[in-house]
Amino acid sequence: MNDLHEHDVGLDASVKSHIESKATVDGTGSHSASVDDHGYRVLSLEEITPRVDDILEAAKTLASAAKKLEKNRVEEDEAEKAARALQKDANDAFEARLEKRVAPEMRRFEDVQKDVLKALKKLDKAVESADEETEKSQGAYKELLSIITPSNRAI
Amino acid sequence: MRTNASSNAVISLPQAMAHSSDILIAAQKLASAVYKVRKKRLDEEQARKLAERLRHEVREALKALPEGDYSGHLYIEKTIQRELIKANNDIDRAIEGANKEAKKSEQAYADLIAVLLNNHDSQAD
Repeated sequence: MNDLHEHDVGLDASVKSHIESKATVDGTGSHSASVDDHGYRVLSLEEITPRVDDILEAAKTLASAAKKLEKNRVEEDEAEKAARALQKDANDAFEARLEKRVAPEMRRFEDVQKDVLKALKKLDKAVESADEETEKSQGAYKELLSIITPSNRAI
Repeated sequence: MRTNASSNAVISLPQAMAHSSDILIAAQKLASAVYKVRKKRLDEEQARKLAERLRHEVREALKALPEGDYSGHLYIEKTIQRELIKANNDIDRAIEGANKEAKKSEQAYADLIAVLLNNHDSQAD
């Protein structure tokens, strides 16, 4: 999983060594405000310690939003499949209706059409909820980064 | 829109979401270790206060003892002084515990940062 591109290797190595040197400092409180080549740095453990509650909160929000999003994706898929299948039924019923062929086992076009609309509404809801969770997770991730690397405007 | 993709070494939002459980685990470990460090530092402070008081008590009790009162001396050793030793041990144990938890918090923070910087694709494009 670490097959990084050439450019990335150099970048990650410099950032990582930088972070390791910062994160393992203990009690010396080196606030040298070191800025690396990319114009931001990751704060030291001492600097973020007062905000561990916020970090935990953001991580919780991110994880819960990611989980809900996954669930939403499944719901979206299911709703889409259901809508497609119903629309196909509706098409069949529509053709039958125009041809005035009424097979006894065939549902009325109007009934199927109602179910299609219901399925579409369900799909809309899943999409809407997914958008909300995406927004939540984005906010949580932004918050997390703003605590740990305040000068970084990655997101 | 990402304006400064070249300086973006943290992982993207989709990656962060994919690794959100790793992030949460590291954050939980970090918070738990930091809380424990705080608790141990409090324990240490309380043990120090107690030891200070007991040391004073021992000094006063010895002072009040008549010259050559060995049984009185022994009594002080068995009571107040023993408590003082226990308080001193508590101080040591609290310091040890705080150091242990501080190490854990360092590791957890390093883990958290490692997840956040494990950047693969946002720079490739």
